[in-house]
Amino acid sequence: MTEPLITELFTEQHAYVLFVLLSSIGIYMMIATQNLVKKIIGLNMFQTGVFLFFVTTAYVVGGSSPVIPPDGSGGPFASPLPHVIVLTAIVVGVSLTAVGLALTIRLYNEYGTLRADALREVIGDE
Amino acid sequence: MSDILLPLLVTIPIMLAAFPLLAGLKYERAGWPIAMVGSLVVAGLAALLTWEVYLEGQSTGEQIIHELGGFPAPRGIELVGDGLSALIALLIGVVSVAVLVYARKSGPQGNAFYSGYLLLTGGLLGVAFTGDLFNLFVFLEIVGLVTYALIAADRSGKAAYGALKYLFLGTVGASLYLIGVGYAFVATGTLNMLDLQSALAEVGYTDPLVQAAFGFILVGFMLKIALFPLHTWQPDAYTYAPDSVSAYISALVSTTAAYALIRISFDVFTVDFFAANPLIADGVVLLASISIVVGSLLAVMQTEIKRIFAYSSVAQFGMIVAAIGLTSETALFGAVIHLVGHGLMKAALFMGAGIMATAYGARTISQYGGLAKRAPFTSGSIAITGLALVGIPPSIGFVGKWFIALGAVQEGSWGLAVVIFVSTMLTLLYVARIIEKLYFDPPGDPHGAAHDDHGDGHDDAVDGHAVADGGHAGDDGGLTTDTQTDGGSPAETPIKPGDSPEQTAAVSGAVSREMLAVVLTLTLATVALFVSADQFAAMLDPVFGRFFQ
Amino acid sequence: MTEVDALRPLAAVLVSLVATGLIIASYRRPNVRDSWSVLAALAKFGIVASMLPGVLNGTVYVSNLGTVLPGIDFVLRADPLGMLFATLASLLWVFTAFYGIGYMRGLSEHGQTRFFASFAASLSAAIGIAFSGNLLTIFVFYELLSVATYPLVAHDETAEARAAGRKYLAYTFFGGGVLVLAGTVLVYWLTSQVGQATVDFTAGGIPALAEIAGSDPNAASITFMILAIGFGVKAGLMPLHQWLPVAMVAPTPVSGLLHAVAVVKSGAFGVARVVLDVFGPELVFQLGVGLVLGTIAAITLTAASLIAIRKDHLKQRLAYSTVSQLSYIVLGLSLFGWYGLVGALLHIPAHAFMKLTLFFCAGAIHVETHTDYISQMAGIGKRMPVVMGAFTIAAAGMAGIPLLAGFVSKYYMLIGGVQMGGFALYLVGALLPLVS
Repeated sequence: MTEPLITELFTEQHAYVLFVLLSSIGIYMMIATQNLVKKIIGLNMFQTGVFLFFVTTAYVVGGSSPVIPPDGSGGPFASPLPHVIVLTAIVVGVSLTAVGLALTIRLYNEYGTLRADALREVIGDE
Repeated sequence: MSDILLPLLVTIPIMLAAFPLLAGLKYERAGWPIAMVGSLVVAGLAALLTWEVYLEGQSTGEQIIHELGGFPAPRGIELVGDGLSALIALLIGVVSVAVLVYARKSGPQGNAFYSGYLLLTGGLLGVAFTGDLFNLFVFLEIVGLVTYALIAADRSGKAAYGALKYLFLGTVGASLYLIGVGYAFVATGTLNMLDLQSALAEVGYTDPLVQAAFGFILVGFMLKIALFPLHTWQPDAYTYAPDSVSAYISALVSTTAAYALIRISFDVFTVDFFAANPLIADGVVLLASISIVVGSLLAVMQTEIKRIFAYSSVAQFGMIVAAIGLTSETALFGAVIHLVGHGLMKAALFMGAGIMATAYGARTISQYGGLAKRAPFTSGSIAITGLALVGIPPSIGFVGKWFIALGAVQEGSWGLAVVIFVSTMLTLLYVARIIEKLYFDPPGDPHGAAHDDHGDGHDDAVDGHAVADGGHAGDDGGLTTDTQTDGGSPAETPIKPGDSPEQTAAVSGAVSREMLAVVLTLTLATVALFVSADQFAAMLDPVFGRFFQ
Repeated sequence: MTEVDALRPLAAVLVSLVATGLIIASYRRPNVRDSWSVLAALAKFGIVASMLPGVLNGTVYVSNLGTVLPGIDFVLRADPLGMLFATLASLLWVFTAFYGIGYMRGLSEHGQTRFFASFAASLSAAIGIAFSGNLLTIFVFYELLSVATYPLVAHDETAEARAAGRKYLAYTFFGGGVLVLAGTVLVYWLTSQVGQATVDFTAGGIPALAEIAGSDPNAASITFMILAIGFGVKAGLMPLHQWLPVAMVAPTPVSGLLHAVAVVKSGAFGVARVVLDVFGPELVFQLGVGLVLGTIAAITLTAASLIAIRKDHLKQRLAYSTVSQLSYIVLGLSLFGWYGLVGALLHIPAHAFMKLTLFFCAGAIHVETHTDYISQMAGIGKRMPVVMGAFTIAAAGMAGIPLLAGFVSKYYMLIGGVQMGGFALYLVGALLPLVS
């Protein structure tokens, strides 16, 4: 009885499917392309997939945004903790991208190429 | 009030890291003194903390816990100091000071370098003390970022390549770890390590979510620790980085990652998890054993010295992770001792190799020929530390190996026991090659790497005798001291006709006395710590009592 | 036996270690440097000899340096067996020191500082092995012996010497670092199952080990074989003997003392310790591993003798003879009850004196004639009558001619073989005529 499982996958757990998809595409980009900048983009994509996963876990069905009204009432709230986590992780990701790009610029200045396979050959020979 | 030491240890280096850059606006060379002050303060505080933890452990067996910002767990982040983290912190402090003394003359100069150095120290201490899984991710990434930057600190293209490769793989590793944390969070709703211990137990250790969480965390750490087959970033990163940076990161970065794995495996997932999932425990042991064998074999095949040491790390950490997989108290005790010992030994080896490279331009095995005569102390240190790595007593390398092997035998894991005993031979393969080259080969072998072991035959036989009889007829061939070279007068190093062009060009760097002193001190420490098993036990007993109850 | 705390065992080990440092420090002054060698040799023999009367009376001198691992101390004990080896090694070092100085100067060899420094360090390790009080201590000194003797083997720095050094390292570290370590861990583990884990040398065998062997004889047997083979590598048991002939490329004083006396003897000594003080002769007999070890020794004995006959290179022939004689010792240790044990232990010093004489003669011949091949030595009796006379006497002793040392030990072993009866008798009976 696979049919209900697949529909459930796409209607209720689509966020997780998207997470796996994004991460896989990111990893694939990192492996398949030879251009260093594209690899960095792939890395970002992979990380974004992970962030998506975290944000998804924050959602509470029927929940509202996590701001408690002054009178202390209010129904179920979405959990703010994963949001905080993702914010921090995004910052980390940005810094990593910055360092990665800086290194790429240095490599380009030194060797004149952005291709990883060419670099591997040149540096391996040195 | 001793719990204030924990945040101090983490924040002081991080805050001080801004100063070399600030002071650099006015003073040219303010970087090193500031970094030195920071490292000394860290080392001192770490020693103090170790003492406090020891006392605390003796009396109550409790850990020292500090809640950051006063927010109580499990919402707030805790810093935890117990025997294990205090030991790692002490190691971090000592190695920071040692490498900084070394880096004064040798390392990349520049205030930015020292800023990075302090940041890295702070990050490592954060990894050592944090009690929160996500906080661990943040500190792991801080460590990673600064490491990538420091590796590329000498502004060469090769270093940038090594750093970039490490960046890709290290980030993937950290992200995999984050996925694992996410799974654990989804399962339990908390991120605090101590809390997770009970929460995960409630969820049940055979729940696929929990198993998957551990799986992702394990793979993430395998990338960070550089176990086979996820080690590919390590040889390039360690080889192309500046010598002082290689020493620092080989001693500390993978070490703290391994510590974090120990912490998570035994404090968060606990031995019950492994008992409930014997397949995972066996898998860890198997993967680690493969790493031991392959790492050593790959090391033997290399010709560049730093590359040999890098692959050697793959093998050594394989032993440590194998001990984790055994979930035996004896083996884990050995793993922690080996963790500390390996840090000291690798730092000494990389710094020794750095001295050889700076003074004699010797970076490959063939260039090491006969260098023992010109650099007896450095060669002696490399030889002794190398033998300690093989596991020859008296040395700390032997002690770690003994306990891991004993643990393997006690658990009946005969395959692993055999691998550990055979690893003595494997490690010997590459260490003996270096020692033989240093002491028994004629200097300045012009035939290069290709002829290393077997092709030497005819030519070197002639060379050997010529040098031996003619060159040393008057002199009895005794060992010459290299204090002149160490005093920084490069004119003394003779350039012989057999030298290759790059050797002639490179023999211009100077080696300071401090660099040699650091290497010698670390070597002596390696040997002296042979008798330290009791002290380690005193620190670790309360911790292991918790792990293995 | 009364145990007495004393510094002398430790001093005996340290004396030549100190000398190593002094030798290196006086590298510029050959006369001062060589005098350190001689002084250290005399001092060491003096210290060891001073303990002799006490040990013969039943006192055991102990230097306990503290606990290293849980339940294991780093301890040096001068007991009768240890004194046998220590006296032998230190006495012969006195002679070798003089001989070595003359030899090296006669050939104007290079690297003499490294040579003598390594020599002193090796003797330090050898005495350490002699005085070790437990498996761990003997392991430590065993490994240090390998490290200290490596520079001596590879001394010539030719490709052949380097290859010999590599082979030497490989074999000794396999025997020591792998097998002996594994055996020690196993003994520790086995004894821990019935109480306090220990690897101490206890006269008559560790009781806990005998206990555990009752319930798990296979584990005990395997442990014994691992330990025996581990030490047997250094003693030249086949097929792990390959390093010995190859190591003959070293200068003769090295071959003489180290390979005929100290290194191979420490291997045999290790086997003796394992048989006598770890497992105990009764347990060895009970488990039947004595027979296995004895068979290996017997095969080595025969094969090595046969190979020795065919060798033209003098030192190689002596090397194979050493292999064969050492297997004699191991055979005696493993099979022949009280007489056999006495014979075996007696053969240790007997063979040492004889073999050393033979090697020194070979060295003298080398210096004089610059040849190593027997076929080229025709008529040497006339040129060097004293040397060849000594050679003849020593060789006769090896063959077991009455009135010489070799005869006594072989006689004892023969009696032991007869006493044990059965299979052992046939082994010995078949082998004696073949030997030498």
